[in-house]
Amino acid sequence: MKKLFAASLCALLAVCFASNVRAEDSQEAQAQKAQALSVETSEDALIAEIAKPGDEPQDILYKNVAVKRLAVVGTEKAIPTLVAMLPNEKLNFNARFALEAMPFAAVDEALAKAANELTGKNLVGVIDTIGVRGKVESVAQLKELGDKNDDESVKKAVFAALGAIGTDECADYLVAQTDKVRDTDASVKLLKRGLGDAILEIGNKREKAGDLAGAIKMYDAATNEVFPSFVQDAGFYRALLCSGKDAAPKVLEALKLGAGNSKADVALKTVREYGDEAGAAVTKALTDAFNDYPEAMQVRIARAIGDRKDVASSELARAKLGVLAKAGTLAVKVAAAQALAKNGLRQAEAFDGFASDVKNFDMPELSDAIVAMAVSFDSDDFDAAWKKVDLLGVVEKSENAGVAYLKIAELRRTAEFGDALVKIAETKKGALRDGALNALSEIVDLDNLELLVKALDGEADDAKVDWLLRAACTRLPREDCAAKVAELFKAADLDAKIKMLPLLKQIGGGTALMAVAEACNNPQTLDKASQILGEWNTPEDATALAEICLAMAKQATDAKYHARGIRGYIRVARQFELPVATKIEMCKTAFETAKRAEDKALIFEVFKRKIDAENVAAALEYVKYDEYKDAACEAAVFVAEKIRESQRDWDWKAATDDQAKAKAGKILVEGMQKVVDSTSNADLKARAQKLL
Amino acid sequence: MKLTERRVGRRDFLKGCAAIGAAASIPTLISGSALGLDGAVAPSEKLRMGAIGIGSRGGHDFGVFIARPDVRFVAICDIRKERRDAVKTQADQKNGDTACDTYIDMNELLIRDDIDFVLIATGDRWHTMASITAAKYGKDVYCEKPLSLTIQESRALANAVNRYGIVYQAGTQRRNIGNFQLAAKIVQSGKLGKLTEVHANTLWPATDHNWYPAEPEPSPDIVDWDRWLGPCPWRPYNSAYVRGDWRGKFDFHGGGILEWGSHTVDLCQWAAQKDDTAPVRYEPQFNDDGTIAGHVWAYYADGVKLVMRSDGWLGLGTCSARYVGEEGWIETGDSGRMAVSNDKLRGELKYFGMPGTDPTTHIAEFVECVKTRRTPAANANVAAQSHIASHCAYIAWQLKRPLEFDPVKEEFNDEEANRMRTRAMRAPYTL
Repeated sequence: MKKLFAASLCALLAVCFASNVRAEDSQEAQAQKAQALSVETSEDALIAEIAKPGDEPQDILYKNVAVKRLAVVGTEKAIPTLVAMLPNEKLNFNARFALEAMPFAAVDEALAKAANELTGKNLVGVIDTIGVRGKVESVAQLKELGDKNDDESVKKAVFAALGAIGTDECADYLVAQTDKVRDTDASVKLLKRGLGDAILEIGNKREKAGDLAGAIKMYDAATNEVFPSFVQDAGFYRALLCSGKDAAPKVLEALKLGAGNSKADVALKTVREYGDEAGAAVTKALTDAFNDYPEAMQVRIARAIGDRKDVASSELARAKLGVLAKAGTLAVKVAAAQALAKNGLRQAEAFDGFASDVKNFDMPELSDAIVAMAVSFDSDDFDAAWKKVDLLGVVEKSENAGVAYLKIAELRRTAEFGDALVKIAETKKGALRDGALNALSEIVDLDNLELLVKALDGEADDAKVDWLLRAACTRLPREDCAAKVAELFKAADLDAKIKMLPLLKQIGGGTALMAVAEACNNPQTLDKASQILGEWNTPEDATALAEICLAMAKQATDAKYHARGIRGYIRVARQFELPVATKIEMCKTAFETAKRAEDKALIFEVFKRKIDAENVAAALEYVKYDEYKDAACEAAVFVAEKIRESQRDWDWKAATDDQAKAKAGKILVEGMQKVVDSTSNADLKARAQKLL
Repeated sequence: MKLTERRVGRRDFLKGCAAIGAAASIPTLISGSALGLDGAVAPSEKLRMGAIGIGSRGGHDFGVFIARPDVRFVAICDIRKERRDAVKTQADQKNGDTACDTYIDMNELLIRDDIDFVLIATGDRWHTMASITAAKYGKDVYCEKPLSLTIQESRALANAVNRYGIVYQAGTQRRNIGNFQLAAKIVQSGKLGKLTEVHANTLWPATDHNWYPAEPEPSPDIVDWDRWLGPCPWRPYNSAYVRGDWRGKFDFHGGGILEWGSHTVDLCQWAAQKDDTAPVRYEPQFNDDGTIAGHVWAYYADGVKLVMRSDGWLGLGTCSARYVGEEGWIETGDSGRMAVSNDKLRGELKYFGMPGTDPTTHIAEFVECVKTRRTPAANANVAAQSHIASHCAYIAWQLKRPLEFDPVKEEFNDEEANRMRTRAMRAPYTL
C-alpha cells in the first residue's frame, strides 16, 4: 500500500505541473460536465476524473463532484487514487470526502499510512476522518501522533478523534493528558477546550451505554481546574444527572452559590431533568430546605420544582407552591402562581388564595400570573366555582381585577357570563369595555352574533371591530356563519360593507363566495369585491371561483374588471389543486377570452407551475402565435429542464415497456425539437438542443 | 339573551389553552411588563447577547432581540465588514454608546465570559459548526433553521447541547405561535380520531453542484472568504454567494425538503407526538409520466403517514401543515388561518392574527429559558429528529428508491444511503 501511495503521489505531482497549460472549459461546458459527473454511474470514469492532472479551480470542481459521487458508489478500486490526493492541500479534503464515507477496512489502512507521512492541515484532516470512522484499531496510532506532535492543532485533532472512538484506552490516555496541558501556554480556545470536550464525550458514551459510574469518572475528570469553566460546568452538570437521587446534597450545595452562578444554573437545570425517583428525592430536599435560600433563589426553585412532571414530585411541589402562593413575597407569589399554572391541583383553592385579595391584581406581573394560572386550570371544582363568580361585582370592586377576570372569561370562553359581558360592554369604557368585547367575541353563537355586532356599532376603531368579528367567525359553523354575515352585509351601510368583504374572505366557502360575487353586481362594492375574488383562497371553491371570475371577464364592460376577471381565472389554474388536463383546458379558455397580450401571456406561468410532460406539449400549442412563440418555448424548456434535472438517468429517447414513460419521453423529445425548429431566440434554442 | 345554552368547544378550547402553556399564551395573556417588553430593567439584570452572522432573516431576529429591555447586545461576529459595521451601528444606537465589539473569528467572541447567549443566523452551512462551537464555550444558542446539513450533523449538535447543558432554541418559531399550537393540541386531544396522516409543505428538493465563475477575492477584512466557506468544500470566490445566492447549491444547502421541512416536518412530528423518533420508511413519488415528483411519503413505525409535498397545499400561507385523523382533519399555515373538515372542529378554533414568520414569541420563550434554565420548545433534541426525517427524505429522493430507516441506530437498509448520512469537513473544522 505504501508503494502504491508513493507512486500515485508522484504521478499526481507530475501531472499537476503540466496542468498550467490546459485551457479552461467554458461556463456552460463546465456546468454540463459537473452535472454529468454528479450522476455518473461508471466508477472507472469517476476514478479517471480524479486521476487527471491539475489542481486549478476547475480541476478541483470536477474532482469535487466526482468524489461526492465516489463517496456513494465508490469501491476499494478508488482508494489508491483518492489516497494520492491527500498530500495536496487543495485536494486533501476531496479525497477525505469520499474516503470518509466508504465502509472498507482498506480505507482505514490507507488513512493510517497517510497519517504517518502527512503534516499540518492535511494531517489534521486525516485524523478527523479517522475519528469519524471510529475504528478501535486506530487508537494506538492516534496516541503516538498525539505524543510526538507539538503542533496544537494536531494534538487537538487527536484528542477529538480519541474522544469519538471512546474506548477505555482512549479515556485513560486523555485523562493522563490533563496534567500535561496544565502548564502549557495552550489557549483555552484550542487545546484545553479540546481535551475537556473529548473527556466529556467519552463520559456521554458511557452514560448512553448505562455505565453511570464510568461516566461520572469522566465527568469528574472534566471538572479539573485546568479546564475552562464551561468545561468544568458541563462535567458537573452531567455528573449531577448521573448521580440520580444521590445528587440532592450536591444540588442543594450548588444552589447556595446564588442566582446567576453557573453551577447553580446547572443544578437548576438538572432539577427539571431527573427521572422520577431522583426527581422526587431532589424535590423533597428542595422543598424542605426552601427557606434556607434567599428570595432570588426561592423564585428559581419554585419554578424548577413546578416544572416536574412525575406524580411524586408534583405532589410535593403543589403542596409547597400552594403555601407560597399565600405566604411568599411578591416575587415568590408570582413564581408560585406561574408554577401552579403548570402543576395545578386544588385549583379552586389555589385561585381563591390569590383572588381573595383584589390588591393582587394591582401588580401587573402577579395579575398576569394569576390569569395564566386560571386559564390553565381544568378541574371540575375550579370550573364550577369559576362559573359562579359574580363578574359584575368584581368589576365594580376593582378595575384591575375586573380586567383580569374578563381576560380569564375570554380565554376560558365562559358562556355563562354572556349577560354580564353585554352589560359591561354597554356601561363601561376603556379596558373594561374592551375586555368585555373580547370575551363576548369568544362566546357568542350564531343566534346572537348580532349582539356583538350591535355592541360594536359605532366603534371608532376599525381594527378592533375587524379583529373581534374575525375572532367570532373563526369558530362558528362556516356556511351558517357566512349566511349570517351575508345578511348583515345586505343591511349594512356602504362603509361597513367595504369593511365586511375581507371578513367574508376569511370565512371562505361557497356561501361567502356567493355573497362576494353578488357584491360584484353593485357598482359601489364592485371594486373591493372583485379585488377580494382575486385573493380568495378556500381550495374547495376552485371551480365556483373560476366560473365567477370567467363570467366577470366575459361580461365586464370596463377593461379593468375584465382584466381582474381573467387574471383571477388564471390564478385559479395556477394556484389551486386541479387536474393537469383541467388546467390546460382553462388556459385555452383564458387565452381565447383575454383581451390584452400581457394577460394572455399569464397562461405560460400555469404550465411552468407543474413539472409534467403534458405541460410541455400544452405550452407548445401556442408557438403558432408569433407574439407568444418565445413565451411558449420558454415555458416548455423550463419544464423540460426541471424534468431532466430531477431525473438525469432517464434517456427520453430510449425504448421502454413503461407506456407512460415512453409517451412522456416522446413528448419531450418532439417538444424540444419543436422549440429548436420554432424559435429564433438563440438562448432558448441552445437550451432545447442541450436537452436533446 | 341565552348565551348559556351554548356548549360547543368551551371545555375543549380550555384544555387546548392549558396545554399550550404559559409561553404559548404570551401574546394574549402576559403583559409587556412581565415579558420585559417595556419598563426599566436594571443593567445587572440584562442578559448579554452576541451574534454570529446576521443576514436577512437574522436581521429580523436581531431586531426582536434588541427591542427587549432585558437584553443588551454587546458583540457581532460576521465575515462581512459591511454587516459587522451595520449591526454595530444599530446596537450602539440602541445602547446609547459605542461599546458593541466586532469580530471576524467567532472563537474570540465566544470566549468572552460576559456573554450569556448568541444568535446564530449565518448561512445554513455554518449552523451546526457555529452552534456546536458555541455550546462548547457554554453559551446558550438561538440558531436559525435548518440546524444541520446531514444526519450526522443533526445528531452531533443534539449531543453537544446535551453534553454542555446549554439552552438551545432552533429558529422554528411556529412551535410558539398560536394557530400552530392549537392545531397540534387538537390532534393530541384526539378530536380528529385516530391520526392517520400528517402533511408537511416542502419545496422542490433538488440541489446542484456547479460553481459560479471566479471573481477577485476581497481582503479578509472586507469578506473573509475562507471563513465564509468554513467546513464546506473550497471553491473560488464569487460575490453572488455572499449576497445570499448559495441556496440550491449542494455544498451549502440541504435541498427543498429541508428548507421548509425543518419547519413543517417539525410541526408534524410535534403534532403527532413523535418528537423522539422519525419515520421508518421513505418513498419518493413519481408523476404519471414516470418523472419524479417533488413529494416524498414516509411512514412511522405505527403506520402514520407523513406526506412531504412540494405543491397542492390549501392556500393558508407558506409552511402549512395538515393533520388527518379518522374523524376529521385540520390544516393551518403562515397566514394564521386554520381550516377544518367540519363545523364541530371549527368550534375549537381561535383567531390569533399572528403570521407564522414572526419570531417574537419564540424569542421570548428562549429568553425566558435562558433565565430559568428550562428546556425550550424547539430544543436540539426535537429539532434534530425532524431534521433527520427531512434528510432521510432527501436521500431517498436523490436515490429515487424507497428506503427503510432505523431511527434508533440512525441507519438505512441501503449502503449507498448510509454513505449519504455524513459529509466530511474541511480541515481544521470538525464536529
